[in-house]
Amino acid sequence: MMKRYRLRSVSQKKAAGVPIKSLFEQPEDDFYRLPELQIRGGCILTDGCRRVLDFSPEKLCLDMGHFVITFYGAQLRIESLSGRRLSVAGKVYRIEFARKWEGQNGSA
Amino acid sequence: MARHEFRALDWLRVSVTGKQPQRLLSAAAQAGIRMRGIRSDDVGFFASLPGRDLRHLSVLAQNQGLELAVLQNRGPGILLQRLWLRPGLAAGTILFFVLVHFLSGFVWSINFGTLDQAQAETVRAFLNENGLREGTYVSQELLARTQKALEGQTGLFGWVGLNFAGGCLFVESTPMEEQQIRQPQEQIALYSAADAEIVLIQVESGFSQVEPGQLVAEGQLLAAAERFDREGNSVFQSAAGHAIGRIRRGYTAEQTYEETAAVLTDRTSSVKTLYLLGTEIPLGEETVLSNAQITENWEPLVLGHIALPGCIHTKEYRAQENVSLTYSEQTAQAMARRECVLALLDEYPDAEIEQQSFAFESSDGGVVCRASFVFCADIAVPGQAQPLEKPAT
Repeated sequence: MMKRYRLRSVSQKKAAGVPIKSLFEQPEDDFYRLPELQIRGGCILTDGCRRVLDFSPEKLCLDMGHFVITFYGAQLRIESLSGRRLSVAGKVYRIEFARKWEGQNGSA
Repeated sequence: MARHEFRALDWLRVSVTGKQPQRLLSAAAQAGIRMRGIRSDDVGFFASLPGRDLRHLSVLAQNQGLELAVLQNRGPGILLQRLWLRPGLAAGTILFFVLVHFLSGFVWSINFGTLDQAQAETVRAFLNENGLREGTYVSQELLARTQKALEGQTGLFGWVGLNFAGGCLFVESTPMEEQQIRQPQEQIALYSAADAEIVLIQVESGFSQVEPGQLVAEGQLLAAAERFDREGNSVFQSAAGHAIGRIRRGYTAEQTYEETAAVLTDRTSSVKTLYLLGTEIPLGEETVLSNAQITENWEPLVLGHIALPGCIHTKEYRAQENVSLTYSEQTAQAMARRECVLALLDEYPDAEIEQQSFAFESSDGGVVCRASFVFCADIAVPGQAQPLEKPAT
């Protein structure tokens, strides 16, 4: 006699783990003012840059408000700088994130 | 306009040097200056920016104690700056197009198309009478009026048109073709114009009544417009065609030894008038000679192979005077003989002379020439057809 299995889809499984309440919650404070990074076609686009703290072919340090983002690499250059939008090109080896006031570090 | 204002149209490559030059990047971004291609080196950085932001960036750099230098311009600013420094180039270009537009309204040349030399001279004289020549400013009214007047000239053209484009006046025409319209009701027959021997009969329509070799009298029927069929009924068809006949005819002319005639003298005068851009400029004073032969000539103005909007009109007077001429015997005979031949050709323009003989009689006053010709010519003349007598059956 064959054993009968009950089929369950993955989406049904995920939906079961997410509380429905969370779908209607407000995002975190200043969510839409947080700095933004996009990698697009060999360029890294940043939005929310307040100042360029340091700029050399090997290092680019940006003040993003609560964060300081540092790009390490070679032949780094700023392709465009307009308002708070900045695009970085070149060979990026490492990106370092740091909270400006609390000194917490992170890297990618 | 200052030099830097032309830079507003360019993209500039600048270098910024000094202590902590990246401060200028932040300040420029906050000031709304858009920069591209920013590269850093040991002493500062290079960047590209629109020329209109250069002044603002210079102020920011000066405030921060940085040195700003323009390395490269890219755009139309340099070209415009050069043009600004040499305003004659722009002014000359503008003036050129204005003049081309303005001068294209004048007649620069007249193209007579397929007209031959004599016809072209006739048309040119007619255009001149209507005030249309090289150098005339052409208006639609003038063009239409002249064309209407030209169309009214009977016997010149079948169709004629005047077109003016780009300073050239084109005279387009088709030759006149005469078409003889026959009245269908009127029956035409061909009759002989002289006593002759028929050499050739070419009847295009109608019914021939003679044959080659036949002798005909003046007024004799050559081609009838009617004939009878087998049953005796009349069949009508107007006659047309040619009948070449051999004619023998004599002419007499008299030439006096002395006669008075108008001959040209060495007294001439000419006056030239320049027509240029609608103006008439006399080139000298006109001396009118009485009893003079007048010839007129129009010479278009050209510079090498380039036509100019003008022409020179030359009016030449050649004075004539009546003098008493005395002819020799031989000359008087020749002139009398010429008169006889002219009288023959006047009566029969297509005459082909086969034989001719001249007899002269001299008198105190002159010479009388009696000429006898044997010639071939068309002797058929159309006339009202007369009803034929019905043959007895």
